[in-house]
Amino acid sequence: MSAYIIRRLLYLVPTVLGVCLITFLLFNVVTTGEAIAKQRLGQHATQEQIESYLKTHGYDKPLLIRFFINLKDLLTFNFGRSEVTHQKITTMLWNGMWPSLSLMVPAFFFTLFVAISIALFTALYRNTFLDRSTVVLCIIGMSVPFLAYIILGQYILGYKLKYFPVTGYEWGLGVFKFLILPGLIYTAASLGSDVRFYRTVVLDEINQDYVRTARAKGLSPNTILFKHILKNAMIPIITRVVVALPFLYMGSLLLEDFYGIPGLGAMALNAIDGNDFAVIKAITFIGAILYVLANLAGDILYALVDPRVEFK
Amino acid sequence: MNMEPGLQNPTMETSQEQPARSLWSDALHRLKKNRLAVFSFFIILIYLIVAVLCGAGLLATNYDEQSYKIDEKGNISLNSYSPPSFKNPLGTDIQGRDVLSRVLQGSWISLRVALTMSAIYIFIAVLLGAFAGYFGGFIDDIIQWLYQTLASIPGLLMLIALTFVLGKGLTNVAVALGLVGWVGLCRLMRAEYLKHKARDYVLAAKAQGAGPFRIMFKHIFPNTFHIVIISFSLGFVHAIMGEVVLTFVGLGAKAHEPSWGRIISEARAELAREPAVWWPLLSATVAMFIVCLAFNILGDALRDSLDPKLKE
Amino acid sequence: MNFLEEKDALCKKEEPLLEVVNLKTYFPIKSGVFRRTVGYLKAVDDVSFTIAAGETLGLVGESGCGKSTTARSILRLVEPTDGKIFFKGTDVRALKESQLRSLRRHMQIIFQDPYSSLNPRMTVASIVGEGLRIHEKLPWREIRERIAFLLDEVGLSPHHINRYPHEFSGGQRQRIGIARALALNPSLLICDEPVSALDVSIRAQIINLLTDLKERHNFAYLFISHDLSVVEHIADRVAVMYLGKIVEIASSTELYNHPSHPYTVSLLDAIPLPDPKRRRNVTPLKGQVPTLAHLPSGCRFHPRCERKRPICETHQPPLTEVSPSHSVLCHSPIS
Repeated sequence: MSAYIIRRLLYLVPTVLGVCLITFLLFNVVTTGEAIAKQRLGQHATQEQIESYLKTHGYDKPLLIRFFINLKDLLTFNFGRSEVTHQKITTMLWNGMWPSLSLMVPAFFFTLFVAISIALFTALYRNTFLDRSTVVLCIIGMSVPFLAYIILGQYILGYKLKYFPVTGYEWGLGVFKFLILPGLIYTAASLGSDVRFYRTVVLDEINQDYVRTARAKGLSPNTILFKHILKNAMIPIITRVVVALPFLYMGSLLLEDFYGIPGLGAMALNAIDGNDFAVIKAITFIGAILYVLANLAGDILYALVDPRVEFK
Repeated sequence: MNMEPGLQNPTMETSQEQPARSLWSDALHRLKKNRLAVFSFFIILIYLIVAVLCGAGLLATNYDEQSYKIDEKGNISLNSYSPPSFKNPLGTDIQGRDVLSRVLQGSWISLRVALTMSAIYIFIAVLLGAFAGYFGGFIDDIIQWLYQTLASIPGLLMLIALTFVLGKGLTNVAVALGLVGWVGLCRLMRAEYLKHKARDYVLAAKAQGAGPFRIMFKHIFPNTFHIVIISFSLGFVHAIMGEVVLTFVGLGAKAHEPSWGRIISEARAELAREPAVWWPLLSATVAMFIVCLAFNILGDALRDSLDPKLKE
Repeated sequence: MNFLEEKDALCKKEEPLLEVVNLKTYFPIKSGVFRRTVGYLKAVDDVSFTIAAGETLGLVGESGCGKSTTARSILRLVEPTDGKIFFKGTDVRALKESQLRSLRRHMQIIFQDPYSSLNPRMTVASIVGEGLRIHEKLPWREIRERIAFLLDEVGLSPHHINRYPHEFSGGQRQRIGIARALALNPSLLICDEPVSALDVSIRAQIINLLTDLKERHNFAYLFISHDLSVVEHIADRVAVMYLGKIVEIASSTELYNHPSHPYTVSLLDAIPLPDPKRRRNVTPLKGQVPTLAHLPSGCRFHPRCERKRPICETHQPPLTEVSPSHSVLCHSPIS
């Protein structure tokens, strides 16, 4: 077990280095410093302007040296300053984190709760009309573009019916009223694929021999469902939740933009609009690191919970 | 498959040559029983025909023509935002262009994006998956490291960063989707090759003197091809949805291109008008929805009939 | 009585078709943080034998004793760890990948499982014709003719040429496998339990087919089976394998009439007699077969041996010749 955890920790090293390498390649080889400078300074920039841009951003050094500087900066979380607002990027990340979390955490767990409830319900009535229509509804839900959910939701529920404020954000508890609508839209858009996933998880368990035994023993369906099936289904559920955590931190690009929530998603979108390479790079890297860590946590948790895991 | 003693005569009783029935035709036979899947297949067929006709300049050629109207005073102005009518069944957009034609042209754009993406990601996934699974060892380590690293970078951010550096535009969006999208299929292919390379039929081919490439692509690949088909079908949905998001973010279709993402992105401002202009948004969303739904259903049905084990 | 003298004796007669010398195939067992190799699974451990042209050698042992690995190591379908393999005087292990490929047409293999050994996505024509297409630059029409001829030879209708394997029964599938092996006209055919996955009623058919083919083409066979009674009819000589080692090797008549190794004796005792009234005085083998990863010290058979002496637990027995062309790996062979 400890050997497994140690090996899993050691695997972090090549992956983190790989992430550094890919972000570096993206911004230094796939696109050149000159191209970036032109995009930042506009087509009419003079040669001197471009050269001074290259110099201040370290593009004049050889590739290998640049890679190590880049590596050191990323690993020490020294992302520099935004090229547009000139704020420190770490401060921006810190400030943007809270609005993103305030939107995503409740929305995510609410969706989780609803999805698992529906999945358990349909599993109870599996192979009936109810179950089949739920599956069809899931596929229908998955086929609507996220953007359509957002635009139509905002227009109908916010603009026309005025149930919720159309857009806005404030710090403090009053933020609640601004978050309900985007939260509900998040739920509506993710419900299809989530229900399908959890339904398969539950069905996998239902078809196991131990469930048949429990039924043969005469246990009530509710006891079987909640004490036996749900307990075993927790393993894939927890794994999925843990792996999803970094996305809660990153926020939602589209939701935050439409509902005026000043989170990391909106920040990323602004950076794209303003050609803010430093911010894009920082967000990509942070997202990747969080994902790697969440995966690590997921794997270790999985190994701890499930005695069947082989420590290969 | 039959082991009844009656059938074990050296030569079968049937004397005339029977048409060969491959596993493919068996699967097709099973698929035909699923009426919803057959229906989806025809929807997709219509979509493909419409898209190709649009691309060939035979259908919806007036998508870029502005139309004008004359008011009571005899002034000529752009026929902006005319609601659905006999002349324009789905209304017109801001420049008086026919929305129906633009939505139909959108199918050609989505097909181009999806095919470009699929060609890239399937090529990478199959090649790397085959090498990793078949050769194992060091090659496997490198390829696994590559896709684990890539999978660590959140998909949307990776897409954005990639399109950002490749440059904006539909082709680059498709290329970025392809370069990011191969990890899932590659994992599946690797597992399949790992499984198949130990099968006796592969050893037999080796004993016959077949080289590694012949074994990988002539012997093993046909046995994994159904996975590619399933992935291709479900990948279409990703391509169509991906185009919408990336276009909205400002990295995809340019202002004059009639892509579905473009039409939906513009709807945000159009809905805010008084009276609201809802027809472009609804037309594009419904078109996308129908195509995505058909691909989702067909992909699921293919998965069930070609590889029951893959059901997640 | 070491193998060198044996080899000398054989060389005087004629050069054998296949000569396997001290073949070892080990699979590493890995464990720990850095996946270090902590031990080896000794699937084939120091195996030597020869097969003359046109001769049939039976290789018998319980499942998991390394028979199949021996077969696959000879073809280098599994890479051997150590030892030498000479085929018609060529050192097989020294060959490069491309040379090996052209050598393989002379050594073919028939697999145990007629289901997994045929590619489900390929027609009979492409399965049987694969070797011809690789090695002989013939027009497709001629290859088809050869395939039809081969199918006829193994007792299948040439009409089946465009069918897929799943349309055939187990016995027919095995015939397809045999046709594939025949296609390149090899001089050595390795039969890796060719009938044990088949229905009892058709085993005899396949064995007869193999015997007929041998008479017609004068192949040498390495015939692997877990059942001594199957080998009896077809083999000229028989080698008995236990836990990666050949424990006894002798001519067929000699082995069945005068078995010297206690293990061979118990295998022979286990063959059911066709007459239900007759009963043998059988002492069944006791104990479990040890795994290849945890081999017993000394003689590998000692934990299950009736004739065990103290030396058996500590020292590996040498290969002893009990009579000409009959050798046994035992401290106290039955005479």
